[in-house]
Amino acid sequence: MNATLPSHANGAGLGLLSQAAEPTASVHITGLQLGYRGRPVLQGLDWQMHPGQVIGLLGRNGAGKTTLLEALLGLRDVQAGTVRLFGQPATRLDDAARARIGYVPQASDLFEDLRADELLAYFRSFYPRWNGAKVEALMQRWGVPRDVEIGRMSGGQQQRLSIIRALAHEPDLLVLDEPVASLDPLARRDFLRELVEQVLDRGTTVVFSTHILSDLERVAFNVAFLQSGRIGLQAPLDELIDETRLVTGPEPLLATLQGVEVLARRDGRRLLRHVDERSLPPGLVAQRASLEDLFEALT
Amino acid sequence: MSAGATWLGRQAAVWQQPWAARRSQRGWRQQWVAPVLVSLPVLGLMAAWPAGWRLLAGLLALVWLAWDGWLLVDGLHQQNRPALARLVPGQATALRLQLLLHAALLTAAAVAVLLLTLGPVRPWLWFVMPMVVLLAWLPREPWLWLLPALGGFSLPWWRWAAEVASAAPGLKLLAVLLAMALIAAAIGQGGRLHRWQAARNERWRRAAAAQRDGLGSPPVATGPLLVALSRVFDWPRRLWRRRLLARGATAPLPARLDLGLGFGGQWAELAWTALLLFGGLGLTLAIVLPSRSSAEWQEMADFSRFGLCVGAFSLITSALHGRLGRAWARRREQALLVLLPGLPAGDFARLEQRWRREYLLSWLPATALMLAVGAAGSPASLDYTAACAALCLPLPWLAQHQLRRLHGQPSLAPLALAPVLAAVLAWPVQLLGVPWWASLAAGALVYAGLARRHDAVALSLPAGRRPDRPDTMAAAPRQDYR
Repeated sequence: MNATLPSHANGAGLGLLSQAAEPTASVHITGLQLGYRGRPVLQGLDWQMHPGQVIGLLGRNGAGKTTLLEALLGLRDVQAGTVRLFGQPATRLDDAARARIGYVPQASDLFEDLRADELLAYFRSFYPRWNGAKVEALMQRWGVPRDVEIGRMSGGQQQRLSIIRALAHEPDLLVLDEPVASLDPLARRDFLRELVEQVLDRGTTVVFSTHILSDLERVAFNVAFLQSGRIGLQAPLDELIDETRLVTGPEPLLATLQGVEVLARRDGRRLLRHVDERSLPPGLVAQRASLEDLFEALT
Repeated sequence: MSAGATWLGRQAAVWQQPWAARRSQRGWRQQWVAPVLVSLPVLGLMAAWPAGWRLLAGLLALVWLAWDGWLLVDGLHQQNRPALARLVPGQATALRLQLLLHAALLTAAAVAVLLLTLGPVRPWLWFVMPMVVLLAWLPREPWLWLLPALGGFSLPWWRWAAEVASAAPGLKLLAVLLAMALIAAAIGQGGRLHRWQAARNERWRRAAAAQRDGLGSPPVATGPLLVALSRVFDWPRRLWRRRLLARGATAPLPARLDLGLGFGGQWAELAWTALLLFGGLGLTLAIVLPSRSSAEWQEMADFSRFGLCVGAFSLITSALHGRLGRAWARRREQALLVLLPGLPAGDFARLEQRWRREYLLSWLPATALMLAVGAAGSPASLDYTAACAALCLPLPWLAQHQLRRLHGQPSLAPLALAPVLAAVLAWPVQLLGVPWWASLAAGALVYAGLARRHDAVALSLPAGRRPDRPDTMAAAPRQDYR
């Protein structure tokens, strides 16, 4: 769908985005700008995340999801704007703040010559809070081989190990860049269950990018749509699905719609939020929008 | 856990990682291989020259120190990834401390060895220190290897070392602090420069791995400088390909098949590279040393014959092991290629014949060049170079043997090291007094014998898909595909 976004969806006007900076925010990004060789990728992006939030970050290929997640962690120098994690600048975190962050990058960043146990022992020494029992349980449940060098493991096994490493020190902020891309359906389900438990047990803030929308529907409490270098819309997923309708009908009739939030428009179709189906004029048909519809319209 | 225990745990983890990683290495990268390879001839020399045992033992100790030092420094840098430096608490600090500690120990050990071996004849500390600083930076900035290659040894290290040694204590302290700061700065903190260097090194590593596996590397991976450099050498190959493609169906099938397999045109590139290297070397010698006496030229030929033989025959052998690696790396393309109509099924004897002919055609000028070098030296030099050439003559048969039996990633070491082995074995042949013509005749006889030998296994493409019962392949009807 060639969608046009409503002007108020481009950042600070919506839902959680409209909240003022709170001291409790795990992540607080304002006016973030970043580009490559003159091509802007992130353009004045504002974003906040609070403890206990699980946010699925959605965007088309090349929209800048990885760039955003890396900038969020201070792994990229921003051209303008600020990124703060736990109240500190992301590029100058102290060790206490670092110990509260877990990160699973898109490409494996493990020491390929080590075995799984050696790798975990290595990282254990750097974190004051290391849950050995959880590591042991996950290693067994996810069948990560212990006697094989990491470089010889399959992509899925490396991904599982990467996730275990990120969960092992019980982070308060967990950033996952396409964490389930190499996992089979059962491993994905198990991983998502673990993620939910992590949030319920510890109130961890989780942000992850993915293209597998069914997984997102299963676990994400919030979804954020990245479009044109900004968070176009962020809202609780259930609420968004409940409140959004895909309305189809003749264009003149659609043009008469007043007082509703238009998320996207195309000839003969509108993606509407906060619409009362009973108030629609005859000739228009409203149906529940799926996450795929939202993805198509908002990214 | 107390803060002290945490600190110690981190240091131990950082220190152990390189050793644990090396344990899983295979081939020449295993931690014992290089020192043992160096130790054997040195121990042999010690047995032959007992008076020089102290010097040789010192040399051996320095080699071991340098190798272990390199392994540890490289291992520390392997851990120094930008994302980990930024996000893992205390990791970069622990790495810096380990590198400093390691540099101090290495410096102390090297100075002690030099003092015990040679005595206090030089300001060893101030000589070793810059070397250790260089070592600390080498894994992060691989281009620093060029420093010794481009004349770094001719820099006045001794004079600088002597000047620092005779300087005031304050200046000495400043020099030590500067060295420490430089060593510590070799560990990145995940900043922009560190990320850029890490990304560049990763690109180079992948490009080198792709080249090694015969896959080639895209220009974006190598960068414009390396692309421009490679074009200086590989333009004949590209020209040959263009001309072959322009001929279309009129070009002979083996040549087209060679092109499809990614092997074609190596001979053109080799010839040009040899011309550049050896022509350039000859021209430089003629310009720089125009008025040397014949005795001096003879001495120079005797001195350089080993290196020249290894260089020349390694150059022509590179086509053999390059083809072997590429055959395995491109087996998927081969699987598609052999499905094309008109391509032979099961018998590629003419293709192998073409490869052998190409090798022979490159061996002849290389041998002529080496015989010329040998003739310029003492009479024994001619015997030596001829023996080396003769030992390298049957190598295409070894390559063929390996290629016909590919079942996995081939080991390129036998072919890559064969010219070195030939240059070493030529020494006893020369000592036995075998004349040059006898060596060449023996080489030719072996070559002819191998050509007549029946091999039950035929070349089968795609590589690695040879049937389990090779006799069925041999029994398959032959097809001529001229």
